[in-house]
Amino acid sequence: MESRIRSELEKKFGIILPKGRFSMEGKYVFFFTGEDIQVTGTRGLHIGSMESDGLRPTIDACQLATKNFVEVDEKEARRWMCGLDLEKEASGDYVIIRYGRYILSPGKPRGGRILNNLPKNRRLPLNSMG
Amino acid sequence: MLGIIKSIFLLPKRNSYMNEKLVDYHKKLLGDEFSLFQEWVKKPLRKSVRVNTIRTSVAGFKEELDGMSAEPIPWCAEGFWVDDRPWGATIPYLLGYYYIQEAASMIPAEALGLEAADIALDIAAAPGSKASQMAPRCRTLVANEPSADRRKVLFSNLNRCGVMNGIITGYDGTRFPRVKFDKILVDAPCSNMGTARKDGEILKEWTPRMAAGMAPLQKRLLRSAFSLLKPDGKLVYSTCTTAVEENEEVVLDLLKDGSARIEKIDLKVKSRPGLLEGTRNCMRVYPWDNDTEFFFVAKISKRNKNGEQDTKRA
Repeated sequence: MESRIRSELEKKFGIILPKGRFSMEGKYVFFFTGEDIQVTGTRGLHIGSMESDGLRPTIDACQLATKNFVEVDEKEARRWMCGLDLEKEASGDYVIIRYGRYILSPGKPRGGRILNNLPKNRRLPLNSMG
Repeated sequence: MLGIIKSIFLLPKRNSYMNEKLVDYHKKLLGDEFSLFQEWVKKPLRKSVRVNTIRTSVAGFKEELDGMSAEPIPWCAEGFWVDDRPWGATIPYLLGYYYIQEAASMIPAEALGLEAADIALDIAAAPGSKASQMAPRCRTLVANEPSADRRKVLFSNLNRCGVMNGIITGYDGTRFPRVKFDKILVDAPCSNMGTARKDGEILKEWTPRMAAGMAPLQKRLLRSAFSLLKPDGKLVYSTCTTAVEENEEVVLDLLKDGSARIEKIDLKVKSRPGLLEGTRNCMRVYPWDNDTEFFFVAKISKRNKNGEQDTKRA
């Protein structure tokens, strides 16, 4: 599992993770770099989920991405961070939306749009679209 | 009869925003400084943020400010007082570039003196401000929170900050598994009197009885945490409340054990010593000292097997 996830993250998004261990809770994938300790708990960063179309990286794993970006302008970035889809052509299972130096989050291209899956607690309020 | 009517209708209320028990308690506690207390609890809290060095650098954060001012917080290299903008509704915030954290609440994690090889525990970690401050400075951080709802917030905040070396656990802190740690933070649940500048309702609700009611849990939590400390390990006990019962008395209860010692905290914070005999090295931070909330911080070390302090790591 570990080599498959590493390879997929690197090949698709240029995400190179440091030395560490992967674990799964259901479809959710976690990555832990600390020393293991005999306690019961969730170890490390939630980096993605195993979907039918492949590994979908989380917004936090995307912060390490170096490729597969779709660049957006400020207005589009604000719309995206409000949780709205983008009217933009893109291809592949998942792309990563980037605004300037900010890596925003992954999106799924479909029919001339990029579908937004930003968690609610990571969204800007709708009135901040400007 | 007339006297009663006068007392109800005619005389001005002594402190309509504070209950009488709170006033009496704090007059005794603060003496001449009680007038400062009355003045400062009404002042709005100054906004502050802490740069998350997992995501960016302090220099990178300054670039984000785009010319807007941010005043460094003397006791935390990553902390800044900032203006009144909505800092929780920005793209860098949502991506974890910084954490909105009250300046005094940055003191406990700083006081721990974490080192890169440390295995650390934050025994009451939600919502995660101090845990996210600790994580980049140690090898492994166990962030414990018994409440499932609060654990979700902790999980969300540690992920937003990109923490890869953390383990989130849900134990009752008074019955934590027998694992040993180099550094432990006990930011104890408390009566929250010190948060009055953020939420003035506490001034109406707080009573000395609330404080006394918290103390048994705080003592059990501190004793439990101390038992998890390696010899020569360091523990910080902190609260955001004023009461001696929740602060100095809790620390003194642990000192009865004989293997605990209170250490001096060496940070650039204006503060005053603990109020009871034997607690001189504890730190009381009052709002008018540094324009913050109230905080109590005690740094405690554990004697090694030979009954001596390891001065190299003090």
